Amino acid sequence: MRCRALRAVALSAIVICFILFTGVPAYAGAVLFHGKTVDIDLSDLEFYDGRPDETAVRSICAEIIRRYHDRGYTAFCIKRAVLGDDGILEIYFNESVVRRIKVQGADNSENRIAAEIYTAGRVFNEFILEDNIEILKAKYMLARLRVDVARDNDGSVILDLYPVRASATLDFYIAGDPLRGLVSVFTAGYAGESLDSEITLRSSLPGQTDVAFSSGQLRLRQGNAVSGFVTGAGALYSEDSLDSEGLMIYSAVNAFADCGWFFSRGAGRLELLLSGSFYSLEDYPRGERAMLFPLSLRALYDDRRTALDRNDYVLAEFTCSAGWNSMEHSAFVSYIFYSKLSVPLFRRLYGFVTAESFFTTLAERLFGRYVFTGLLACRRDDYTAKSAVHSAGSGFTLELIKDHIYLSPGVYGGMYGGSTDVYRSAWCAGADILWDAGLVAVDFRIVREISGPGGMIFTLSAGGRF
Amino acid sequence: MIPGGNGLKQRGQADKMRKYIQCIIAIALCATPAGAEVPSFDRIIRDYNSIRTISASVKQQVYMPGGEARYFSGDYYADSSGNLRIDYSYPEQETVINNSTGFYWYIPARRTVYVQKGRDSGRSMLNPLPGRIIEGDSSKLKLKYEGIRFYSFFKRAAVWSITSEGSPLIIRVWTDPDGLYVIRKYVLDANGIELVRENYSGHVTVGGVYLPSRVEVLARTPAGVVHSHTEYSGIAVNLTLQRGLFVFKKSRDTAERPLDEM
Repeated sequence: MRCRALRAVALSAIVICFILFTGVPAYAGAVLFHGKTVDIDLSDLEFYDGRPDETAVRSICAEIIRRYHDRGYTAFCIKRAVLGDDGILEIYFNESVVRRIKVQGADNSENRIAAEIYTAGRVFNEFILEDNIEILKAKYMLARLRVDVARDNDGSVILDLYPVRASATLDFYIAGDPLRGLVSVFTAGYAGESLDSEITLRSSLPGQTDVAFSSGQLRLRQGNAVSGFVTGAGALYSEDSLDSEGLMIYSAVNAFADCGWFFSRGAGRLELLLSGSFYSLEDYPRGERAMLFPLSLRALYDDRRTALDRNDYVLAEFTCSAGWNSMEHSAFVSYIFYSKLSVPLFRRLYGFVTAESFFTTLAERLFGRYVFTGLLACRRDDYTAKSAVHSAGSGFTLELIKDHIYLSPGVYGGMYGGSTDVYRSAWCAGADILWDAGLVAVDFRIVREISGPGGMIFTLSAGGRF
Repeated sequence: MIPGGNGLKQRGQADKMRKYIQCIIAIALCATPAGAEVPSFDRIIRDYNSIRTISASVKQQVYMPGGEARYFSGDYYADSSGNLRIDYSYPEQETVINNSTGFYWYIPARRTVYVQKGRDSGRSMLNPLPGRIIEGDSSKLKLKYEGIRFYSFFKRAAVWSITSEGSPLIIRVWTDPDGLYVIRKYVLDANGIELVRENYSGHVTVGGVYLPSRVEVLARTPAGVVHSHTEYSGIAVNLTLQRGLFVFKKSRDTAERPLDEM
């Protein structure tokens, strides 16, 4: 930064012009400050005793500059000082407002960093600037944020920003599921200046259970913006069960694409998407093809991205779709909801409440959801699928080792059914043990069904960000 | 079948429903405080302004982003001018001083003092008065009451936001509903991202002022989230502190290094 150079310029830029009339008797004089907007106490300098000579005027000016610079206004300088024959000393300030902020290599009007680093039109303050640099580096994961401070011809300040973003992320984890076995998930993200992209690959490891799936998806989103376009496309190959025992298996290839608009603010995010989804089926009784054309609204609130305490958060995701289904020749409506809320109760003890809900007016099993997965993951090899599955749970999280090991016992209950079925319920209880080692986290889960035939289910998940 | 039985049944259900609604209204009225006045923040500001000096013993645990944990204990002194001194006795003898000239961290074993010059240079690391929210001239700040919210086991907190001109930051403060003490403080950026979170608990009354005896701080840094717990014991306010306590006297054989090199 050129702040030190600016300070030297400011000090050297003091121009003192004063007119002294000789023969005027000694008197108590007043000092008038012109151009003072900053709240710095100069009240003790507003009057002086006796007749000031050049040295005294210089010392008053030096004291004013010192006070400004000590408070971080390092671009402050005095344009001139005039001592009138009436004994009034008039001092003209240049407090140096920030006139222009320019981010190098980006469109200034759309760049949020420029808007947040400093408010244009305000008096330049080095301390505030330094604080904001640190804040923005942490917030936008910038490897560096260099700021050049320069003075314009009219005495105002220009800030030139040179941000260097940490642009790539890589996430990998393996999730345990009692129906599909171990499922690996790989996500690679790249955040550019104007475009964010993300590739996600998911696959159940082969040869574990009767059902399996593999999928790949690419999503693109306008970067560095609170609203903009979002689009995505992907494909899914799955082998699913037509019955609850897994005796009849069908396979499906699903290709999908969507595009729309997003709006985000703080922890909230809203997406409106127009989608198309094509299914090619094998061994499926109703036919070989299906197409869905839904308009979807996705609302997400996730304050884990904004909150500092990892155990004090609210996560809620709701996706509602409505459109046309070619297989059943009818319009449909469906939604998926998931939420989890965690609150600190006492030192190292947190409470959580979680819920998930799925509903569709589509009757075909292809569009239903397995019941004993998610919060009700308490039965192995039970492939019951329904068009309405609702479950909720609650429990405690105990922090066994600070920031590292967490134990979360909980109770979960749910209801499932369909348009023609009687609703059934299921209850289970279990516990998670999470070991968080910073880059890598491992989660071990034990669940036992209370209400039905389910046995003890163990699942292991592990993953990290690299 | 009784003639008109359905009608009687429906009327009975309607009566039940009416009673139920009346009960709900009665419960809601009981739960709403009479007058529903906006809590006051003045008492907290006034209490903290009455503190001239404070001293206590401190125990501090700091959890670094990489998982490293550090433990410190010592004696702590501060005054209303923002001067602060901590004489650490564990893990080794160290002295931390923050005053109007800068921030000093003296390690006798190394015969070195790590310095950051300038007023308030250590303010981001150490809050001189635990639980103090507003320092200096509060007339320039904009205080807004945001309502009551629940936390923990159905406890209530009054939530306030504080903003100042020229700063994009928002300070959100949770106080008890009676406005006696501070429960939490958040420093948020313009997009609501938490930069600092401070949790205050174990409040004790010292000299008529509610002070927290436990302070938990989470701060976002470029390296990750730094997490610290500080426990204050033997808190005393407005004692006359030794003159020169907040002045760092550098001896000839002490080397001076920038704080960044520590």
